[in-house]
Amino acid sequence: MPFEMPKEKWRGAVTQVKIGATAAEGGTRSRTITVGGEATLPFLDFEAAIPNRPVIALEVLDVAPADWPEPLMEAYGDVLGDPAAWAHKCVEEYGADMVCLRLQSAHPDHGDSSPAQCAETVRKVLEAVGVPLIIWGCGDRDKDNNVMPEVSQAAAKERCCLGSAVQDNYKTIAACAMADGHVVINEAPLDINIQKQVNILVTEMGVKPEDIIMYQVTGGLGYGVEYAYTIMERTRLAALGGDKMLSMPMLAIVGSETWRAKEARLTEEEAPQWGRRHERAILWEAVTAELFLHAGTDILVMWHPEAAKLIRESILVYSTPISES
Amino acid sequence: MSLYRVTFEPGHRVVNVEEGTTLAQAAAAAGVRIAMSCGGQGVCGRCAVLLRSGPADGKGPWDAHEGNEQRWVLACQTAVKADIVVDVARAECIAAHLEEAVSDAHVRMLEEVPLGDGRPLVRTMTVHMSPPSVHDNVSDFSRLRRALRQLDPSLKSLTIDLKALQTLPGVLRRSDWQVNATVADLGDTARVIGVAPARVEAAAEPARPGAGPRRHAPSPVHGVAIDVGTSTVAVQIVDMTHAISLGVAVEHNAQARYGEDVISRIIFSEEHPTGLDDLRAAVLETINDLLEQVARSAGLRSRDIAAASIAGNTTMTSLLLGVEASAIRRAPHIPPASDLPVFTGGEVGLRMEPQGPVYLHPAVSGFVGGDITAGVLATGMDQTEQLSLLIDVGTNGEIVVGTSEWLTCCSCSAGPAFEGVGIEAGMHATRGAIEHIHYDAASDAVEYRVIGNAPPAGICGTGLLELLANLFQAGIIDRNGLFNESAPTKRLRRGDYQLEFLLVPQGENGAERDIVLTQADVEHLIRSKAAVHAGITFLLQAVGLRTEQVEKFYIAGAFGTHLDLTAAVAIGMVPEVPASRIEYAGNSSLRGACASLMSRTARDRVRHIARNMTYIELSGEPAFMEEYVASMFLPHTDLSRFPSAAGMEKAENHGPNRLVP
Repeated sequence: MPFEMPKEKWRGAVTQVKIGATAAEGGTRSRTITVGGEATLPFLDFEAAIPNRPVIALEVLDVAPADWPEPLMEAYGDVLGDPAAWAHKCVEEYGADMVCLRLQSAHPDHGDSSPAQCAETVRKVLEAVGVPLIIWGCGDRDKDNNVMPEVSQAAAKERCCLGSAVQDNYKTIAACAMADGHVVINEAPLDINIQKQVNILVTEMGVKPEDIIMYQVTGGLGYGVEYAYTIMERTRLAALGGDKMLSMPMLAIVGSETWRAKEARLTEEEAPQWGRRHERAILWEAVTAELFLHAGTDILVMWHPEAAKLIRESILVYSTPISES
Repeated sequence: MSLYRVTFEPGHRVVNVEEGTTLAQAAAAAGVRIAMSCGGQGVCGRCAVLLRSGPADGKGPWDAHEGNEQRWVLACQTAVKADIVVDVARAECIAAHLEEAVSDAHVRMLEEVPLGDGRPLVRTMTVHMSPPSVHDNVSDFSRLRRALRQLDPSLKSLTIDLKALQTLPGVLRRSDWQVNATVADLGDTARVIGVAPARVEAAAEPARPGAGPRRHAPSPVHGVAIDVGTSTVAVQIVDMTHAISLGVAVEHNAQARYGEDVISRIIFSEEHPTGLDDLRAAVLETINDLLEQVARSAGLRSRDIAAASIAGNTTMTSLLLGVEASAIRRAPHIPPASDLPVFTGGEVGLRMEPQGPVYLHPAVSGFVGGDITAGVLATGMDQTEQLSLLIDVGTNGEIVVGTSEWLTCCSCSAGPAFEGVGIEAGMHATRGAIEHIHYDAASDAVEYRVIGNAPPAGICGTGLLELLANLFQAGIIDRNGLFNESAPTKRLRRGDYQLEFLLVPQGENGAERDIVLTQADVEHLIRSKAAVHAGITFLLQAVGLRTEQVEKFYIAGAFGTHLDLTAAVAIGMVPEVPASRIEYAGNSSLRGACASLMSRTARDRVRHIARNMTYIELSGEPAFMEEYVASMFLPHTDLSRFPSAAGMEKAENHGPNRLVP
């Protein structure tokens, strides 16, 4: 008797969010990226439409990191301190779908660069690459509220993702997104209810659901990642169940979280029982990213190009071609 | 050790204390009550007093305050080391609170005393016995017992207390074997606690022709129902013979000076050698003061009270009896006793008939006690097939759901925010408290009503509730409760540490200081309402039911009496249900205590309720925490639960807020 694959019928689907704008749309990107739109759980394409595949953004820091371990130095050593060159390398050499620019230098403790300086960095990176951009603030609430408006304006019409809106500080970034045509990243501290609350607050300000990406702050493998997985999975299930306020695509920060771990940093001399550091560290990042893929993450922000390559292969195995504008 | 003289003004109360005694201890000794929310740990600041003269080892956060020439110190942290005069006028004294502060509706509700079933906690039974003879030579007590049993065959096991026995033979013979026996119902047995002649002696006036011997109508039997709340104690004296209320009074539980909540009081009992005694003495002081007051106003002496029916939560009951309560605050939160025996007034320490029975309502668990079992009794939710839910909105926030066939309960620890504790300008519902308040966005004006029409000194729970709903609807706070700095109001300003909203400026209507609502206050209130809502939702989910299925909601508590239903729904504390499904149960604990006083059936019901109620511990349940976080949003993260609130416009410039129920 032939086997009938049981198919779930879901009421809702993930929203589709387009990132980036080509010349025809008023921007200067050579292509746009669309994420989301899944009408079923990750990769079950026999069940329903999965119009877009997950994408990988490689992260670019505007401050040369002081303590990066060798594997990362090997990959980016020559471009540290030059965000534009770094971004270029991410796309041309390492095939990133997007670039995530983190304006760490704006932080009062890490350089305190001015909004104007940050805006200039953003302009340079926009010129250096044709892929869509994620622009993230420095994490200092008051500084970001000054920096992000100027940065947002410098990138006007490019439809970047701006990070991030949090429960008690969402108005400035939401306003920027609406004024300059960007997408907002709504952040929550690993709490599904707070995620929904932020989504409600931001949409009530006037931001459309198609202009929102969700982000749950998570740790890497071994540091609470299963809890993050559960939260993301529940969020995805809520979206498929029809909850419009949890239907946005999801983003996960993998690079900076996993490379913090001692498992990624300790050398063979320091931890001989853990084997060769290079493979170990790459796998630490790749396994974390793979986990999040299966939870439903649409955008992975990664660091090491070899880890990104492994994930790209995974995605290819599971998915349908990326939709292009 | 040297003794120093401490004088408390105004009122000129003087006490001599040993060097090193704290001002708080001295105040207690002098009979001056000062609020100590944190139980004397020096963190809440409510015991701040002004030094008028004399040095002291003072500790207070105002020492370096600019422009503060006055010397404010924390009474709990300041030791006496010389003669000293202290001004407590502006300290937060826990003022006694009489009937004037209890709403009319509340008092009216309490004036109805349920009719008994013929077997109240204590009653007078009139018996006429034939005198003993050679053929009928049973003992005096056996004779009495036989007669009583004839009157009431249910009196299977009957004893007599020593005092009554001592006078029995004499009374029987003097009264020609016609006596009024006072019988107390102890549960499994009954006890004769007094005998008096039923028949008057030869009258001074000539008997009318044909008239039989004159008899004393037995005097009415008086009993008292007592609700021992964590914050407030309520006492109601009842003429049990005629089922009439003779008066109600409430007062702050003097135990509050040792801690505002049950946990801090238990800790106090653990950390001080005489802690348990002090706590017991404090609550007895409050109860006995109230007994005296109400008795006096009813034309009685408190000794005339023959029985007491007490409803209090598990900790309050334990502390009243001087029972060690430490196990209650530690997992698995075990109460000393659930089903208590009936004690005597003398043993318990109440100023009533010493041999009179004292009935204490049974507890269910460490955190759901006699006040709730009494409350369930009062609402009658244990007798109906209708699905009912009772919320006792107070510090402990107990919730009961069920029918006549099953009952479950939980305690959601709402916290005392709605009782005014932990709120900058918060206070109990006493004289000077703003109890109703309305903010009009269009005119940026605040209207309010103060209890007792006194100068506003602060704001109590009902006012806080209305205010929260109001500010949300007016767009002053967002769904998170955060102040909207761009709101069109002049009342929002930055205080020392945070944003605050000015309600009453100093000087208005005699207000002594600015009355504000701070950002932290809003957070506390939201947490409190979230706990209540989460408790309701969680408890219903735990038994597989939905809000829509509940046919009756009972809202009880000192706070619940004045509950503004629309405000409670607007902020998401209470689910959105048709108004016809909600009933205000007022002080359900007191009403239940009254019913138990009057009727054996009621007492049996309460025992059944306590034994059959299943307690669900919320603290171990992740689902509760989830629901709690989801509820910390105005009105709720799941807006579909509050359809009319979700569809409501914010009043920005529309004038008075409107919530269409």
